[in-house]
Amino acid sequence: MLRNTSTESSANGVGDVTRVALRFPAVIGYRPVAIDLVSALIRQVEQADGNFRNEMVTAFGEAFNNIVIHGYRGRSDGMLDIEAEMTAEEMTIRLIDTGREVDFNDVEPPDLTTMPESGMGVFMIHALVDEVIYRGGSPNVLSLTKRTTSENQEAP
Amino acid sequence: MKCTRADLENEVRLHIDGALDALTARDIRPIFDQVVADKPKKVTVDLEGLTLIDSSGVGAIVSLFKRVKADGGNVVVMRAHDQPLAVLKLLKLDKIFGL
Repeated sequence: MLRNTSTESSANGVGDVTRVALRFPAVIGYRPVAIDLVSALIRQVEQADGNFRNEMVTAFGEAFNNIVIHGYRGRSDGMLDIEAEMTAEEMTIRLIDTGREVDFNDVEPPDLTTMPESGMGVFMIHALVDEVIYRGGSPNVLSLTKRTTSENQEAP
Repeated sequence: MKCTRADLENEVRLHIDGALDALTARDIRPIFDQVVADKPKKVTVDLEGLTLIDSSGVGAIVSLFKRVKADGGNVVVMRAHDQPLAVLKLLKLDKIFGL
């Protein structure tokens, strides 16, 4: 599953960037190992605290679910590529797939007063990370960035 | 994920350990279905051993909550912590669940 890893110093002296590439079969059974590996990668973000870890893992897990369950619905041959970039202060995870497009740009929040039983994943992703960029196509690319300096560090 | 059911005099107590997510929520739904079918007066869901939850896991607990309430029962969710507590707070369920 580990495809590649590298560390380099940035030209502007901000700090080291560690890049890791992973590849998983896009089936829900791989969710636990994907979560464990992303949790391990978050340790590379030196300034990340427990809230950062919880929120990034939660957002990644929801993205993984949506791609595997909805993007690859009806298929068992799909693959999910994950590219992670870590500095001391922030982390970006890109999830790259060739399944159906998933509307990760739907930022309409669910009505939480009705206690919905589904349809909360995309809302959670947007609430937990600082930047969500989705480009549908072939492949689909979802980019999640979280910074240790963000206000999200204190929430929820 | 492991879900243990204990039947007390006027209460069903459920202990959920491990991860309750899109992979494991399907396993817990039959247990919840049976609890609902038994129409208990009170259900306590103890999350002390829960290490991780996602929206699917939350959906399973909310479904249990709604159905027990609809039958006139009471549901208390207790001892959530770390990532599960953060998720329940994000979805504004902490106060509804009595956390």
